[in-house]
Amino acid sequence: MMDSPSSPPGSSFDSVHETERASLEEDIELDLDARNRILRTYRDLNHQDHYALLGVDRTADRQAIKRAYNAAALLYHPDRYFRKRLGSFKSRLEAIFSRVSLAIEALSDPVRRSEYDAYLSERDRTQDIERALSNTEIEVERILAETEVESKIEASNLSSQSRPSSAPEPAANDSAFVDTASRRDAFSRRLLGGRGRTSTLPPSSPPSEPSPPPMTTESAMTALKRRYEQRVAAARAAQSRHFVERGEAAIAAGDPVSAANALRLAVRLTPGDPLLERLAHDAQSHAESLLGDAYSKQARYEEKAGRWTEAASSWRRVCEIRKQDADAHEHAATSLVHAGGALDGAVEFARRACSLEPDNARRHVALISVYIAAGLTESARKEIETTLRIAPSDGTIAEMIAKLGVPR
Amino acid sequence: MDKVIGIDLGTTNSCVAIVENGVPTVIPNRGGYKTTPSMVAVTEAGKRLVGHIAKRQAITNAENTVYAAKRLIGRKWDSPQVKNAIATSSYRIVRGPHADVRIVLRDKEYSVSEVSGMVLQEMKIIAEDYLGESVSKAVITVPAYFNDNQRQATKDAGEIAGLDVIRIINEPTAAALSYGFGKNVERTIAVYDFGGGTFDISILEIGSSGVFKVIATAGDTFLGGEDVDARVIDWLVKGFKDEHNIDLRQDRMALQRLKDAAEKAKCELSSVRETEVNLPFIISSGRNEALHLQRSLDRATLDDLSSDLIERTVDICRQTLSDARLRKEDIAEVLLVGGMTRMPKIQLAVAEFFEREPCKGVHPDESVALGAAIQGSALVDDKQEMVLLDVTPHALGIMTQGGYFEELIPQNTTVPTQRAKIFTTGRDNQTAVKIVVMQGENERAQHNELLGEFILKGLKRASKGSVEIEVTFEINADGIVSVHAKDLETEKEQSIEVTASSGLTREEISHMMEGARDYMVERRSTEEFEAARQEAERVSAEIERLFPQVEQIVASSDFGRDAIEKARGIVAKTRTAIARRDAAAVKAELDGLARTHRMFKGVVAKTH
Repeated sequence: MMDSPSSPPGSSFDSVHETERASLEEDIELDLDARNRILRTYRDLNHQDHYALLGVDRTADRQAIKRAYNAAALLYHPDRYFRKRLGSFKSRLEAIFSRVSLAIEALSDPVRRSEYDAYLSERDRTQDIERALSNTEIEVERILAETEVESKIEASNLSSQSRPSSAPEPAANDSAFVDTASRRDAFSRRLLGGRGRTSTLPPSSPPSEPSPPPMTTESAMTALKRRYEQRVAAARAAQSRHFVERGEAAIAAGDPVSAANALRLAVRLTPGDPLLERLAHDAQSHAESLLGDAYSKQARYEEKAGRWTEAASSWRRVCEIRKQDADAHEHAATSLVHAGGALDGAVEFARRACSLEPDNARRHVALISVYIAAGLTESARKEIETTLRIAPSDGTIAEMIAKLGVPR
Repeated sequence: MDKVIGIDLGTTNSCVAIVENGVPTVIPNRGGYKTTPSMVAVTEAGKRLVGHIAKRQAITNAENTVYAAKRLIGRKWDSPQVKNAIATSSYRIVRGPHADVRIVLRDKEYSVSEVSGMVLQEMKIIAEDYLGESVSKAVITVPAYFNDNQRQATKDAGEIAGLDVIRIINEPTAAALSYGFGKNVERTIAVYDFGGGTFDISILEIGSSGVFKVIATAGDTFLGGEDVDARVIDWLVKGFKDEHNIDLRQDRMALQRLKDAAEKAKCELSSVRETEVNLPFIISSGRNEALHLQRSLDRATLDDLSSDLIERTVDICRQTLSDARLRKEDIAEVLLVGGMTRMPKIQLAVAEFFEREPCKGVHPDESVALGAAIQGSALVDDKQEMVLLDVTPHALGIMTQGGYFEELIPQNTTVPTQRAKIFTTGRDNQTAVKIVVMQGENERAQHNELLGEFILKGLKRASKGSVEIEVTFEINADGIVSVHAKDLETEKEQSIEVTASSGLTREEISHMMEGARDYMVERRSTEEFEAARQEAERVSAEIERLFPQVEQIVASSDFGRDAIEKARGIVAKTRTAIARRDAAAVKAELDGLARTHRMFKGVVAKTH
């Protein structure tokens, strides 16, 4: 359970919290355990699919589902609270039981259940694709950071190998190269050729190899920097090749989403390669088209189930992906009308559908009905005139217009 | 916790039960019978008779004895079932002020709910006598296939009887409850309920957790034992007509005797293969000659006469099984409910159809009342983990343009439930819409049952088809239908809780309730009086019996003679009070009588 000590006053979470706390103190005929249970279930109601609501696996068999429903009925059926004073819990219980009833209706008939399962897996796929595509940015940053770290390590290892010395090397971590002071120390130790003057070894200790001529600090640093950048570039190129291979394998395997991800990373790692960019772009379009299909299917299911708000949202996503799809825009418009509320969005979508297919009278008829629903009678009239000019003799269109009526 | 009684208000017989210390128990009446005839009569003296005593005088008082009122309850005057009842009943049925039905007894009109209320009141009294306390809460059962009007009318009857009807439940469901109560079983069962006036078939799933869920239900509210009786009566009447050229139906008393005999014969033929119908002096011929009816009826003939009725029940079973999307193998148990299921031919038909022997574990006459009591107890006691999920037996919808019926809640939908649909106006500038609420399966509204109507006003003037009206139907756990209409644009709303359109007004119900209360008061005081009178007369008789002996013994004593004078006085006062039917006065004398009696006994004893 979330705690939110720092949410701003008046935020929606806070007001839910307040309402719930008040409910726990109402003078009604419900014990505290029951109240908490009902509050919890009610809060989660809209985020749960039928299976989650009943508390069963998606693969549960009919008997398990029936048992789960029975358990829910015993908890939430209004008869279990017969003639009790329930206060604000009455409507919560009704909402919960109503959802439970919807769940068992959808899941107990094999045909309806398979339709619902199909819808859920479409929805899952859509969410997966979305997540995969949006995670790419994070992936890229992570990989870039990793390649830098790795490059630093490699660069430091290489530089220490090129200058053999009996003097102990400073620790091969990147801080040795980042921290100016310790870098200077490392140099100074080399130049002094030994652990320091406190040694009491006789001067006739085994002779060290002849030290290379001392370098100036600057040129040493430039050399290091150059080598570091070389390493980074090499590492990135290697990574990029690796991702291109992955992408090509994904394309061959028919997984456009993974291909799009991999190729996008490759382009980030090695930008400026036109062929690579072309490949990545194609893969991305392909993945988005898949997403478009998924959302389209989801939207149609939601329309059929009468869930207009969800349908409108799904159609909206389709329109974002398929900007030229007039049908999607028309559906988005009509879903918004059915969902109710402000209709500016619907008007926009319907207009876009018309401008995409100006010769398709159906699109215009849709726009007319949206205008009427939005109360824009002047616009509706003008649109009707336009439509009649486009399809003056089309019977079905004329019928549709007649049915809608001519607004005054 | 409140006590709740369960009442099976049957067409022919009623039964009342209660859950006592966790045990569902049928309550017997004063005579020791577990069921009571659903009959009401009014004597020449204006006295109301209910139950067994009404049945006993049914033949001699045929015109003023009501039976099978359940066949009329909640129906409209112009329905075919009412017309049928008029043709075959011995009592008068007339049209009421709401195009409903009234029954005439001794020139007074009663609504059907009022008459059924009298039966319910009798069952209430039976329960109160047994429990020794007053009872107000009840669960009453109805046939599963009853429509909303019939249910409302039954609820009205309960209210008139002074009962708080906390739930109306379906008879087959109640039987299933009584079957499954206390058993830890998980199975799908069918309940075949063939009662006096109605037939129901219900298919239920019993869950081990105490959840009883109805899957599908169907029936015929005008198909019952009375119809089988009618076939026998037809056969007897026809036979008599062929022989004597006289139609026995013309004579109310003959008709009532025939009815009685047919029912008896039918019942007997469940245990014997042949029986005799013997009705001497059934009618007089035109020539002042008394005619007799004597005919033997065998089981085979009865089976023939009723075969099409039985076929019909099997057809309904077949359809319901299909509606439930189940096969015969899925049904683990078939319960038989209702007196008619005692008939061997019916038991055979059921066994044949379901391909299994019916369950003998439920009592066909008592299980419904027991189930009602169980549901009542579960509703008021939340520690009882039990839930009944019934369905609406008929589709619910509204009438649309052109007289079509648009369904909103399909048949066999689990209640409570809520559905909504959007409708629109049919004409330009329509500012109001009439929502006509109907129940039924026919696509033409006129063939369905009208439940109620209301008008949603204040719509915006707009072209037809552009106004959006959302109509929401709701059936709550009590089975009460409410309809809500909202203009999506103006947000104007209107709701109705549907009350039977041909039913009684609140005023009428209140008035009838008063009548019932008056009857109760009068009945209780009569009972009190009777009890006091019996006691008083018994003791008086004892005293008088001892008078001669005592007189002789105390002849010599002044005190003795005084006492005798006083005793005579008490007895005389008692007799007067009895004659005046003054219960209070009679009761007042009981002490004195008892003392006198003791004294007399003592005097007589001492001398021996």
